[in-house]
Formats: sequence, structure tokens, C-alpha cells
Amino acid sequence: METFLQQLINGLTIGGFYAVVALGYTMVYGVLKLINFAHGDMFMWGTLAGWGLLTTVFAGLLDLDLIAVLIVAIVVMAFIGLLGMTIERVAYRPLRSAGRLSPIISALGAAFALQAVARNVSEARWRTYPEGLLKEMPDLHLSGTVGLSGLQILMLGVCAAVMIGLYLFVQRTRIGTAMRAVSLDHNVSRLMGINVDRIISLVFFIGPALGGLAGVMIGTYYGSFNFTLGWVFGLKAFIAAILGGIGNIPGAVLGGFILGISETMVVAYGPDLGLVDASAWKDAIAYVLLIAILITRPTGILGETVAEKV
Amino acid sequence: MDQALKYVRRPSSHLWEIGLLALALALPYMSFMDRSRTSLAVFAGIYVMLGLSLNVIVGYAGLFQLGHAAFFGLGAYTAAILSIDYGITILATIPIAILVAGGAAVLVTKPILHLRGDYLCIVTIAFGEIFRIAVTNNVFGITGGSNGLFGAGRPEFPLPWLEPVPAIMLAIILALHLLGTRKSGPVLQWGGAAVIATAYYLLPLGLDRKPLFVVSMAMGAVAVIAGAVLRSNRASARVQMIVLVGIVLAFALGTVLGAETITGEIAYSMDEYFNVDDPTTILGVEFTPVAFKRDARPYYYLVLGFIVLTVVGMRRLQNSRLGRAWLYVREDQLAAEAMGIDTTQIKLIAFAIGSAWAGVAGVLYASRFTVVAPESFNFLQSVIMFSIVVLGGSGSIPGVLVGTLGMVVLPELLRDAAPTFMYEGAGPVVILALILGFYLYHAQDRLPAAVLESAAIAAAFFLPPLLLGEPALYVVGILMALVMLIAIARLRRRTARYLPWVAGALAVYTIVLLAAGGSLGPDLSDGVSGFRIMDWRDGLMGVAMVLMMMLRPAGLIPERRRGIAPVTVEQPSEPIPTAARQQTTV
Repeated sequence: METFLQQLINGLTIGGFYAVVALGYTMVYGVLKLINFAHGDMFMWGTLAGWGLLTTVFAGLLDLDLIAVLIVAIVVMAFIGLLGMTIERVAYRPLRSAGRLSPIISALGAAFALQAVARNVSEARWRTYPEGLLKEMPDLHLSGTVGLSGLQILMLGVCAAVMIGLYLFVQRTRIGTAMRAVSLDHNVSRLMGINVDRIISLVFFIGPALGGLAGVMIGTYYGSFNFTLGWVFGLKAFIAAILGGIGNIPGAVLGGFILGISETMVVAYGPDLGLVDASAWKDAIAYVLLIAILITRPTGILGETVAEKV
Repeated sequence: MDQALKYVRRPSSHLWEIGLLALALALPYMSFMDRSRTSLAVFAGIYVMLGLSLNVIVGYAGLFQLGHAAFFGLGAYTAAILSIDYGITILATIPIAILVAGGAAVLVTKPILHLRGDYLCIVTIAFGEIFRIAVTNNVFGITGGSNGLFGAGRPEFPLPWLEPVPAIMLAIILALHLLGTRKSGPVLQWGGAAVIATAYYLLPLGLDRKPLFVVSMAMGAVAVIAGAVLRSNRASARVQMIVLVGIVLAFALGTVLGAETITGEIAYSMDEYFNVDDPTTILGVEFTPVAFKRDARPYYYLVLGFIVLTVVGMRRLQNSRLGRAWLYVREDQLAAEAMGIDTTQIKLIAFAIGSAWAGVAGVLYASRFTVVAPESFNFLQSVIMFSIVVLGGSGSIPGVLVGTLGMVVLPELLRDAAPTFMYEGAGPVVILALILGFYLYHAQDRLPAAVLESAAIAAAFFLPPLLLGEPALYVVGILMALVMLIAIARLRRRTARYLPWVAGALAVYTIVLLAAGGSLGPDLSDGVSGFRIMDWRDGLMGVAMVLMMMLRPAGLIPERRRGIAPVTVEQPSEPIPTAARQQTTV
């Protein structure tokens, strides 16, 4: 039972990361109906930028590690957000009326380009965040050996804050209403006086900015990364978004947590169930889950069935 | 006006196909082809097969498939396992590979076909990844884990003596070509075939056999092409004639220039190509088993044969009842359903055919490389196949060829090349001429603006490396030139008035810089060592993908739309007679 609880906590933390990255996918899909394959690499750029800042500019501030990390996170969010807006402007906007195939190729191209830059910047090696970053925060002991490390508390707190904040923003504010309107119908939104291009730009700021935040958090949590992080982690976060029902913010969060928890559980309990090399199968879980859920619920867990227009 | 509507699709003359095929047959004997390039051609050929097979799913039926590498891998693994563990001749495993890959496709896609486009896309990715992970983890204990399988067999079959494969292929083309004959021309066609046959089987009696291949290939190509030209002797025949003469001339020139190399090449290749010691005599003709060994040429002809077979098959498929059903489903699923097409069944067939044919490509891959490892079938390979289809123009067969050139051949050639070749020696002059020519061709009446714009592009191209001398900046220069190209095209609509001034200023700047810096092509040999284009290859490919989609969203060679479509009637372009004009003014 204690291992189960501990694994659940670990899974929740990882699920939180998946969820924050998945939010970016789901928001973009919501307004553009586009699978933004470049999102994973933008998120990886967040990790990379965070590493760059923490090891150079902010290297002297590491004594105040929480503040340093917070400042870095904010700078990275702004940077990745602007990067996202640029990519939308350059690679997606000219193709908005060009069918379904061309934007996918364009997105894959953007992903390749981002990845190549990251590979050359990081010299294709594993890079590590500064040693001992945020490790001295108070832990929380629940009972026996079960507990949350200080880092986990922080990560879960930030994830929760981001999700709730985003949900409130989309549901309660005027701009959020405009976003929901754009995701329903571009032309009608335009008739209602909404500047559709600006809303899409905003979505392409918020989504990648969240990805950048998740990037810094993952770098801090795991300590090391390389340039393929975007493909692997990004693809799984996208699957999380689909699991919950893409275009749906609570769905992305739910999908992220389901994915994170089931991955941790498979690694923890796989050997008991006869999987010899359970960690090697960890990556397959996401895909199996995806297929299982989509066969039974074709639009994801919380996805609405859209009636086809005739 | 009764000419306003007519069938867009005209009976084709197969002219381009014949020319291309003649070139393809001669390719391994061209002077610039060495061992590694022939290998590359084989590799690219396998990707052409994959692109053609994926084209059925993505192009014809309009479905997403980003996990095609899995079925490619299934074919390769089937061939390798059967060949290693059961000792079956590798090409004999093709039917089994078809069954395995096609059957797996049916099993796997049946439950997910009801998903909408993007969901289907992600599920196909999932299947591809599950395949890779399963194979890496050696799931049934027969896939060899992450190292893969070694020692798949090579093809074996006896073929007639002397460079037989091109001759057989040519005979096949001629047969195919003649089957479609409607009017004149067959005399020359058969004449061509006779010439080739003579060249292959009679001339060796009296001549030294070494230069013979060259002679016979050239003669055969000339004969085939001449026959094709005479057959389609229509209004535009002159243009076709010029093109074909060009092809023939290029071919002849290539063979003449490369004759020394070719004869030398043949002399050593004879031993590798054939097991000369081990001939068998059937009906008085001496047969020698073709040895598929280090020399890639036998593989080249094998793969080429499969490609021809595939292209012919795909053509016929596209124009069949099934092909038309795919077209309906792709364009409007609801309407297709209303017409009584079982859309689920049709899509399933598309997946089955496409995947089964990817399995065939897998067998060819296993037989060529003899090593089958999981990393050859990962998500990146699926993405490359998908890009081949979409970049070339989904649904279009020539598009697949062009897409393979762009996605497979070009990156491999870039492996050795450095961008400095564009900056050194005669390179800059050629590039300047190209830019200028391109612009003048498109400009027509706006000559000064076009000159200035091209100067601006040239400036963007040359400035970064000249200013700073950093090797990495060559790439920046190339990219900047590309960006300029697009920016100018977009700006022209809005700020056409100011653009020439900006461009002019840039041009003057460049000229000053060039004058100050000395020669156009500086000696860059020192700076090259630190920079490897390999590192940036994928990035350049990505940028190129984005740019391509912006410039040609439907692909390089879009599929020709079929059916009845309005054709614009050309207005008589004669000027109004001056007499009539004078009358109105008076």
C-alpha cells in the first residue's frame, strides 16, 4: 500500500508535466484544428533555454535558488511564447486555407529545424542543470515512508496553479470567451467582431509559454536532458491531450495525469505481472492506452462527439 | 464555345516515361556513378517503392498514415527471419511478406477506421511506435532485440550471360509500350528492340565485349525514343523531339565522356557481377548466375524492375473502379456513402494494399542490406515517407519520385558536400546568373525592378560570410537568400514602390563590398574544417519543408485532377484594327 501511494505521488508529478505540455497542444488544436508537431520541440527549447540561463547568466544567483529559478522560468516563458508566435506567423498562417496535409508537413519541418538548432547548441550531448538546485526545500512526510519531496510539492503546486489559472482565464475573461468562440467557428467569430488572427497569435503565445515553463520544470526535476526530449516527451504529452479529448482543457489535464500514473505503475508493478524489462515497455504504455481509449471512445474521454455537418 | 468543355485528361504518349526509364537503365554506367552512389540509388529506389505504397493510403484514399515504417519493418523482418531461420531464398519470401504486412494492416486498422482524420493520424503513430518498441524488446524472441538480425540471404537467380538485366528490362518496356499502341511507329519500335537484341547477343561474337554495353545501351535508347517520337507525331511533336534529342545527346555525351571509366569499370566488375566460374548451359545458351554481392548494380536493376512494376500497377489501380471509389471517399465521404460505396471497406483495402506493398519494399531492403534493425523503422522514417508523398504532391506518381530526390537523395549527397562550393571558384557567378535569370524570366515588363531585386537576393546571399568570414554563415547566407526570395514576392504586392530603392541600396552596398574584398569567390579552405553541414542537414531539411509548403501547398507536382473541367477559351489576341479605332474616335 505504501509503495502504491508513493508511486501514485510520483505519477501525479510526472502527470502534471504531461498535462502542462498537453495544454499547449490542446489549445492550438482547439483554435486551428492543427496538430502542432513543433510544440514538443518548443518545449525542449524551454529546457535548453533554462539550462543556458542557469549555467551562464544566473550562475551567480544560485544561492537564492528559488528566486533564480522563478526568474529564469518567467524569462523562458516569454521567450518560448514569442518563438511560438513567430512560428505560427511564418509556418502556419500562410497555410491556413491549404487543406489538412500541408500544415502537418510544415509543422514537422519546423520541428526538424528547431531540433537541429538545439542539437548544435547542446552539441548533441546530455546536459545537466546545476547540481543541487532546489534540493533543500522542506519535505512533507505523510505516513511511514510515504511522502512528497519539496521539489514535488513545488512542481505539483505550479502545475495546479497553471491549470486552474488557464481554466479560469478561458472560462471567465473576455479574451477567453473570444478564444472559445474562435475554436467553434472562425468566420462567425469574425462577424462578432473578434480579431481572429490576434486570438490565434495569443494562443500561440500562451501554449508554447506553458511548454517553456514545463521545460524548465522538467530540467529542474530530472536534472539532465538532451535534444531528443522534445520528440519523446512531446509525443506522449500530445497523446495525453488526445486521451482526454483534444481541444478540451480539463481533458488535457485528466489525460496527463492518467498517462503519468499509468507509466509509473507499469514500471513499479510490471515485474510482478511478468514483464521482465518493465522500464523498456514504459514508452509503449502511452500508445496502448491511446489505442484502447480511442477504440471505445473515438473522441477521447471528455471529448464531445461532434455531429457531422451535411 | 463548344470547345470550352473537354476532357482534361488526354491520352498520354508515355514519352517522358520512356525517356526517364532509358536514363534510369543507363544510370549505373554513367561516369559520375561510383559504388556509393549506386548504393544510394538502390536505397532511394526502395524509398520510391515505399512512397508509392504510402501514396495509395495518403494520396488516393486521403487517409493519414504516420506509421508506415512499421509495415516496411514487418516485411523486412519476415524476410530476414524466413531467410535466416528457415533458409528460404529471400525473393521467395515476397508473397509471405505481402500476406504478413497486409494482414497486419487489416487486423490493426479495422478497429480504428471510424476515427476522424487527426485521431487516425495519432493512432497510426502509436502503431508504428508499438511495433518499434516490441521489436526492440524482442517480444516473440525472434527479432533479435535492439541489435536486429544479421545475415539475411541475398537474392539468387540465374540469368542469361552478359549484362542481361537492362536488356530484359528494355524488352519489358517495349512490350508494355507496344501493347498500348494505337497508330504508327511500331516498325521503329520493333526495330529498336531488334537492334538491342543484336547488340547483346550477336556482336560479342566478333567484337571485344567490353565497350559493348555502352554501345548497345545507347543504341537501344535511341531506338526506343525515336519510335516514341514518331508515334506521337502531333502538333507539339517538335517540342517533344527537341526534348528527346536533348536526352539522347546527353546520354551519348555521357557515355562518350565516361567511356574510359566505363570500360575500366566493366573490366573489373565482370568478376563481381557474375560467378563466371560456374556457368550452366540451358538449350545451348550459357547462363551464369548473377551474384548479388558487393556490387550494387544487380540490386539496382532488381529494384528498378520492382519500381516499374509498381508504377504500372498503381496507374492501373488509380484508374480502376476501386481507384475511383477512393477518389470519391477522399473528396467527399458522405456523398460517396450516398452513392453506395462501402467507405469502411474501401479504406481498409487502401491500408491493406499500401501496407502489403511496403512489405515488399521491406523484403528488398532486407535482401540488400542483410541487416534488419529496429532503428531503421522508427517514427522518423515514417515522417520521411509521409513527407515524400506530400512534398511531391499527394496522389501523384511523379511527385513521389521528386519527393524521394528531395527527402532521401539530396540529404545523402549533402553528407559530403559543404556549402562553400556555392561560394568558391565559379560557384558565385553561376548562382548570380541563376538568380538573375530566374528573375528576368518572371519579370518580363518590370526589368529594372527585377534586376534590383535579384541584386538584393545576391546581397543577402553573399554578405554574411563576406562580412564576418565565419564558415557557419554560409548557411546563414543561403537561408537569408531564401527568406529574401519569399519576402520580396510577398512585399511586391504591398510596397512595390519602395522596394527597388531598398534593393538598390543593398546592391550598391554589395558591389562596394565586393570591390573592397577582392575576388567574388574568396579562398575559404581554412574556414571549412570547423563546420560540418551534416550537423545542420536535418534543420535545413525542416526549413525546406516549411518553405516548400508555403510556396506550393499542393506539392511540387500536384496530382492531375480528373473528370470534366472547364478549359479557358483563349481570346483572339489580335489588336483591334487601327481603321476601326479611328472610326470610333472621329
